[in-house]
Amino acid sequence: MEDILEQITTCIEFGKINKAAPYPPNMKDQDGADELTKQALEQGVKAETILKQALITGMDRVGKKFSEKKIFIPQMLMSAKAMNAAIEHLKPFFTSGEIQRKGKFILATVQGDLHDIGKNLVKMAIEGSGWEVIDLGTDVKSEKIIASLAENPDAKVGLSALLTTTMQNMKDIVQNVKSHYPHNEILIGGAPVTEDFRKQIGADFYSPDPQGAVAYLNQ
Amino acid sequence: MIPDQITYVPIHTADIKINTQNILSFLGYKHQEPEEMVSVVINKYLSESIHLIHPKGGFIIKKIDHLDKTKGILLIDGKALHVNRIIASQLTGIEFIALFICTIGDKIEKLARKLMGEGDSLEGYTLDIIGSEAAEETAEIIHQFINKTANQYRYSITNRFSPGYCTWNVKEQAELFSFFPQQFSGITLTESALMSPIKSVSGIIGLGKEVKKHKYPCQKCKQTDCLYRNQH
Repeated sequence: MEDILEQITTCIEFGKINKAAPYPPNMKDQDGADELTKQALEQGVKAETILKQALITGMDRVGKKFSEKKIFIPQMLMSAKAMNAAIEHLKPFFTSGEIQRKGKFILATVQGDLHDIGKNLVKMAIEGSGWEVIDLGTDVKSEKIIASLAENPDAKVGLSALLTTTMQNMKDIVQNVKSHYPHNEILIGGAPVTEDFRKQIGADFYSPDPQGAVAYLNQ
Repeated sequence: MIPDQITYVPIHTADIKINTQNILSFLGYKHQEPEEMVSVVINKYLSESIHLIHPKGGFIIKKIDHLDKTKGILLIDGKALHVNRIIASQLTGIEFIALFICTIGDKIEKLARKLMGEGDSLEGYTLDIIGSEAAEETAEIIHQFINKTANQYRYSITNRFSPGYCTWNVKEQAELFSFFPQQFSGITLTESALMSPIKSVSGIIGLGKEVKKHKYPCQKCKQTDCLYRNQH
């Protein structure tokens, strides 16, 4: 069992989606995350074991390498695609409740900002670590986040901004959300955001990269 | 006297030259060679983008009423643009201001969104970055056109500055758009003053007898992780 789990982990780590995928070249014609996850389930490996010991482990390795700048956005995207191919096989187990997510994470790029590459990388990393991500998209007002929290009262919130000029909107959103939901943690990130800014606006955590957010959520 | 009227700049898709190195840089490859897969995707969508880019745009040149460098305000036709102090200081010596808007249309953003929605994230992201580069290149062509126009009247030009950057609030885009007819070049503003199509650029360029293009004042900006820091 450990062997197939490690094979799936390797597929996630190196972005091997399925047998037909030509990338990475050194894994050409080998089974990918898609086939191996199916085989693992057929062999009787529990879905939760696959999620925790293969998929989350794989994405954890990817996140660390991305933080250390050993890999770049394309490899991270290919790994996320491989993970999604594996997750497809696990969906029935999420629906049945056999696998429990770690929690819910509401994610948005703040009002006035359309940049979503950073947000989407965070989404992949957090989903890959076992959380359910509710992606509200870009140019999101505090009202939409508050409405989402009303439906998901235990959720944590992640906010992204790329422009210096939309940092003010991030501040307004944090204050507005905190006035309604003071105990729901808010994580912030994005190119202009800093730890000092986090302290100023009363957010709970700042990370310069996706892996930092994952580590904080999973502590 | 420079005529106070809107000029449509003739731009053809073939004029849009996209720098592959910039695409790689946005994907994270500053000094490293990309994997073959990445090069294949970039080349595929660079070829396809020729059919997806429809550049258009224009500008209007206005005599300025006043530039308040201390408050970072530029007054034109009685309207105030709060460009902030970093940009205002870069506009020292200007007599006129060119306001411009341009776009490459919405085909790239639609296809990029479709690809990402279908799980082809690398393809979608790469195309999205190509679209951003194409929009900047369109702005660059307009910048050059404004330079030629300025030179005819023995003026020089400054760098271009856009709402949302160098601490100029993106909401000011609404004020900038007020100098143009509704839906100029097919571009509209959302409630948050963001442009639609997304792959559009708006901004200002100063004209004066003694001004010149400088390196962007990145060292004055606190946004040390800015994507565009020291790139121009």
